[in-house]
Amino acid sequence: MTCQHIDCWNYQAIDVVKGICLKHGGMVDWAGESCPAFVRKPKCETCANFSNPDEDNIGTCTGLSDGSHWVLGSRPATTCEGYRE
Amino acid sequence: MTTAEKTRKLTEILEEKGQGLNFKYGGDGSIDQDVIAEREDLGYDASERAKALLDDYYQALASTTTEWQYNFTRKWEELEGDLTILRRAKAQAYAFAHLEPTIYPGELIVGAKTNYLRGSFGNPWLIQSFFVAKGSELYEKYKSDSNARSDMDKQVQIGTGGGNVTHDLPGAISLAGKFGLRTEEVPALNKITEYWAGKTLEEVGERISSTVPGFDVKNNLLRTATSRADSAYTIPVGRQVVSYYYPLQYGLDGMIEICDQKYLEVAGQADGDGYGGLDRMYFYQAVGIVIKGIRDWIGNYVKELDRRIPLTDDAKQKSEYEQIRETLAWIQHKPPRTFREAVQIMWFTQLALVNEEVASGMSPGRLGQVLFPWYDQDIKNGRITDDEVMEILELMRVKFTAIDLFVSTASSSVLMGNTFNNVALGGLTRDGRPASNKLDWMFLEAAERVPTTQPTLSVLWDEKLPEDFLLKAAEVVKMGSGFPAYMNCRVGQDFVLDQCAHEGMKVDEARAFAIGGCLETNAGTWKTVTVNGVEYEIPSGASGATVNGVHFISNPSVVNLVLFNGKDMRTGIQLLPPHDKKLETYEEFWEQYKAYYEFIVGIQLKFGNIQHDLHRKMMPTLWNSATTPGCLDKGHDIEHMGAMYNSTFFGVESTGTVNMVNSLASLKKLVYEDGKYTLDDMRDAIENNFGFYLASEIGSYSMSEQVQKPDGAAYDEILSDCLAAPKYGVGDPYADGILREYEEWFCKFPRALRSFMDEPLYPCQISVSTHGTFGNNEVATPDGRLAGVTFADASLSAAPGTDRKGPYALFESACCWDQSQSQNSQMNMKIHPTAIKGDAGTKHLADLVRAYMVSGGFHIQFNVVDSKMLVKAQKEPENYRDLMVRVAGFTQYWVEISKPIQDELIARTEYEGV
Repeated sequence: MTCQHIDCWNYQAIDVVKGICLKHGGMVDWAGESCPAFVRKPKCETCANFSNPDEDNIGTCTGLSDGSHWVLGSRPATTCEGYRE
Repeated sequence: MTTAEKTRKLTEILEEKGQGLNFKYGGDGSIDQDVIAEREDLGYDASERAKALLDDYYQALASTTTEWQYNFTRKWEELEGDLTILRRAKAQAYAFAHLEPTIYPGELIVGAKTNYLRGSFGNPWLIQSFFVAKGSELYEKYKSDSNARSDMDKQVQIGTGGGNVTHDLPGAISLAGKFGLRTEEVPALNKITEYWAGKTLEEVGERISSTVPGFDVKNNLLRTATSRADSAYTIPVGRQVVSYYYPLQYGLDGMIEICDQKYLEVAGQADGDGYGGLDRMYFYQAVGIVIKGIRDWIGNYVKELDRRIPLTDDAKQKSEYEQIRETLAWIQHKPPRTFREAVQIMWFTQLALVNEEVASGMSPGRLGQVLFPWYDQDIKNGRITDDEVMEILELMRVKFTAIDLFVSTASSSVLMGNTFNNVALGGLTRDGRPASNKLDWMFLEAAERVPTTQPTLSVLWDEKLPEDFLLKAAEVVKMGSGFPAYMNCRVGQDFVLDQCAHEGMKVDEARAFAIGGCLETNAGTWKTVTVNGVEYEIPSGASGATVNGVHFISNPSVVNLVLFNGKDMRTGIQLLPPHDKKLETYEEFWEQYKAYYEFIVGIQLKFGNIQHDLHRKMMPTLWNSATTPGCLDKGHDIEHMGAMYNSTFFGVESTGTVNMVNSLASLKKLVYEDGKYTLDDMRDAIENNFGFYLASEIGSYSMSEQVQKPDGAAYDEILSDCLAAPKYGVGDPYADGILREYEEWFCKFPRALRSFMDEPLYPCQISVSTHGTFGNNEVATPDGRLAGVTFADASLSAAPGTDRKGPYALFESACCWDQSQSQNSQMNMKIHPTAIKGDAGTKHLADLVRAYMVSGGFHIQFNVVDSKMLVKAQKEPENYRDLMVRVAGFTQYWVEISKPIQDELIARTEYEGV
């Protein structure tokens, strides 16, 4: 798993390629290297209910009411009721 | 075309003949033509907070995401077998409830469509053929289907600058020619679109429509750019004045209680309606579910702030987050108590509307008058200052501007990325008094401080409005943002009264009208709100979407179709049944024009009815219906006649009117009266583009830049005669008579037609950017316009270079017919900044507006800009990121406008004196 700006919970996206650093201020690139203030943002790929990702990082989610469904690993899970680390 | 082949430009040829296209009017010759005149600097400045947010906006790219699509689809799949309306409600609620909160430091009012500043997304269940990822199997399938909509996508142009993502970037791909999508989301997009393949409204609609006579004609209307069909697949709702009444008066919990109570009252009861009576219980249940989803969405913001506040080091920012949290926690459930809470719930209402369905023109209406009760109470009780209110209004300008719309290239070529958040100011109260208030004034000033495209402003003009208010509005116009536009109260009220009288509209209710979209007159109503125990009456939208149905018929194209016996000369398609008439008289030509036009409308209406009927069966717009007055009373959504007024849902929309009038005038004069040319002479000239290269070969779409072919001189005489033939816009009864005859017919025949709701249609006359889309795809026309040249904009703007006798002659031409018979008419003028300088200039501008309004004109708007600046901005777009211009009913950033429209804007007659 990567530790880039886009993986950090202190990154507020502006658009698909950049965002604002909530910790230090200013605009940063999505791919920039993280700093000591890095806080991993919950994503499906870090959830205990996520399994078997393929080469596209599409895996299986078993944490919601439908029992099982494909999901993209890099999807943010900050609003997911089934997220478990 | 090689350098050796280049010959003369059109302007050179005409000057040799002693006739010119006159692109300037008025002035005393004192303007220095070597200097670019700037717009007047009136000294307004934005707050630091608004400047910072605006700077973020300028840097932001148009971005899309699969977040909403994934969540909606996943829940939809889970609920297979459920009643469609409930399945949609639950999927929608789930999608709302799982939207990532987006909060930027420094904001005071929070909320965004998605997790991006300029974020938007398509609804694949509606249409997905235009945005499936390249390389996917579906991409090849949809391409090979060769559907008419994708053919149209290939024929149009959109702006390539500003925030448009026109090519792939590291980490992101370009989708639909404009939107960036994270590369890692592409596999998810593929799986989502795979699921919906075959199930989309577009595909279901086309399968069903293919069994109906006229299906091929419908698709060819789009392919030939004669009419923009299939709008239900692309923008099924919008051009509507939003009502915020229910969230403001009841709050979200209160709305849910209304639904729950109504559900218990109607469950299992037909109550005299054997067809739709039982549907009411499902509607109330569905709406309640969606509102809970929206409530959860707001709750996500509260939770994010709960997370963020302890982590925030900056004390000021922390305090602001706490205040935002308190606001959100309240309005998540309860009606607002303060101005700030009112703005916040208004904002979430707005976002929910444009997330629920692909919508263009969900306009806030008379927002200054809607929010006034909370402003008034806060000011009286010392809870807020005018400076604080102004700061919020400034920020809202950036927020509204950031709303984006994910549509196809063809739709983007029409809308130019605009979302038409039209705030109407002024107008009248229920009892006919001027309705302008302090907030209306502050909306004007916020526009002077923060130069953004949204919200666009409209003044509902009436003679009773205070002079200082009208002068303030004129002052804003001078800054060059292209607004406010002006709409005539009396004309607009007469229209809604006429169109909606059979639905119970009365004079006092007609005064509640406002503008949806860019220029769509909407029926309104009056509602009473209670704030801190004090009652206020506010205006409210009262109808669902408007001007669906028959979108944009290219009027000049129909002239050519008559001339060429139903054949589209650009594509070679036999579009309409050959009439095989000799067209020996002008009257015969005109009769055939009307016959062809009505045939086209008949085709579009038939399929538009089918599409919207399917839309209401498959994907009713529940939040839209929850907020539109009438629906919660009747228990039906806006497409099942739930709104108070339903007869504005379908209209007949036209474009290129002035080129049509000028073309008919040319034929009438040169062929039928003077007999100098035959119709075959005209046909030959048009087929050979009057001896000129195509506009697309030149790379310019304005007449002045067109270049003659080496062997093209044979057509010099017929071309100059066509250009010299009587023209609209100079107070000439010859051309004006043709316009009047057209309007008398065009305003009448739609009312005999019926929408899928069995309501009469009406005429709508605006161009948005279709004068580019259609003009660029039309061959030469009998008015002398060359192939590919953008049509004259709007509906009553003179063709560039032809309004030789000044504004008052133009007004005389424009007002030769009863404009209250149409939903709208549209007039643009371009004024040199020096022509209206200083206080005297402001007064002149206000007087110019008055002159047009009292003559019976419905709408007028202005570009205040030196044409030389536009020419320079075309060459150096990087230096003009924040330059805004008025296109036709909307303002857009210059860099995000397509070249054909840019060329047309440059070509518009520049008034150096008024």
